[in-house]
Amino acid sequence: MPVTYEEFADSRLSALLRYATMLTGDPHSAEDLVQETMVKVQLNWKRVQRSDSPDGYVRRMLTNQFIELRRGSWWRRVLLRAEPDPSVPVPSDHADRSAERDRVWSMLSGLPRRQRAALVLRYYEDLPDQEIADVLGCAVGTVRSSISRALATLRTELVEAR
Amino acid sequence: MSRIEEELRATFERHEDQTPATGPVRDKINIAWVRAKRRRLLLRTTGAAAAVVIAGAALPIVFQQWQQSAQQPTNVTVLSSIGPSEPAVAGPLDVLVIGSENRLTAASGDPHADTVAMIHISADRSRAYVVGLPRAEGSLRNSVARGGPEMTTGIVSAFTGVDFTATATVDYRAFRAITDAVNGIEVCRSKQCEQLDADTVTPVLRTDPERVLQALATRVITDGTVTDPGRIAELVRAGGNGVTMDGDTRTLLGAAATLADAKIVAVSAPKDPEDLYAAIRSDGLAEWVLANPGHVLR
Repeated sequence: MPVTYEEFADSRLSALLRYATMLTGDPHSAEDLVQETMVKVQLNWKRVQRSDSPDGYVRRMLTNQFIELRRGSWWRRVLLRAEPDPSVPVPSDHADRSAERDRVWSMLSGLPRRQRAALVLRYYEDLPDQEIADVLGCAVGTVRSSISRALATLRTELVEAR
Repeated sequence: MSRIEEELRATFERHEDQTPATGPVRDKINIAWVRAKRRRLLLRTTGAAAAVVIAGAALPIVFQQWQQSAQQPTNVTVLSSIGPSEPAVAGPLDVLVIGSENRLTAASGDPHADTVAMIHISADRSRAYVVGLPRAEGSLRNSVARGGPEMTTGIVSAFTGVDFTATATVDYRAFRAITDAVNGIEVCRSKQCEQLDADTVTPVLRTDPERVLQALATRVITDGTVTDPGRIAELVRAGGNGVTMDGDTRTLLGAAATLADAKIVAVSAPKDPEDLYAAIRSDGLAEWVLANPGHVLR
């Protein structure tokens, strides 16, 4: 039985939203990104359905949308709406560590989008490099080099921030 | 795992609670989906209007007596009666564009360039070719005076062998208004470009119609007008009654929505245009252009 769009949305929407939140770094952008992608998914549901893995196909669509979004409409919306992240209450005994983690979070937004996507796919989605390469449409070597470049950038910035 | 990698994992995990709730997003997607479907329909209609504007960037032909013709041209408002669900049409499309003088100028007996242009839209919709016809077609002059656009179309069909899907006739007032509505156009002749506005476009229209047509069509397509319903409505209003579509406009309009990515190529006819006509008939203009780069206007 081929999966319907409704079933797909029921089972996958929350995971997609989490992934989009990690990519964009804020809930509003994540919502917009997922919404835009899911409308496209619906428009092209037959093709999505026919693919080997609808799940992977949609993740690829969403990632591409994120990377190429200069032309897409949600980027404009994001710019118009850009609001500071609501601050998350922090337990005081871990305050220093948490502050550092937040610094990493905000540094992520300074990375090129492809690099950020690669980081999210490896360290959040836990995908093997080959699958990351499939999502990003590039060679495994490219994935590795962009991840190590991104890590180097973060490391340098963290040192400078201290 | 290095420290930075651990921190990354922790950072991602820690921010999971920023993920928006699923329910409201689901609703928004459904609303956006309905809007997207509606927009798809709208795009078809606006694409249709764009076709009128593109086709309506008209070319001059001697037209002195046309205004006396008994035939009532179909007004551009036919657009509103065309349903948005016209099926997409496969295959190449050919449109004949006739520029007409407005009555005031025509009555003065001012002699004009004797030119008509064809627009050939390739079957894959990647290119729209604007082909200027040789000016020496004396029979055209008489045809327009005698029989209006229908006779002109018949005669052009006879000597080119091209069956036209539709004919667009635009008078100069409409042309000037459209030029104005797009805030002027840039026309280039032998690497010299000039900015034309409503007041300066007419003389260039008479001498280099296909360049003006190309400039206008390129403008409308590249500045996003083609996909902006509001802008299209403005242009169509600007053109007003001066734009006339005859022939199988439904087919043309049905296909027009796919034109948003088309590249506009302007071509001037060589002295012996038979190969060119054959290329148009067989939808082989891409090859013809490669073989005759000297006739592509830049």
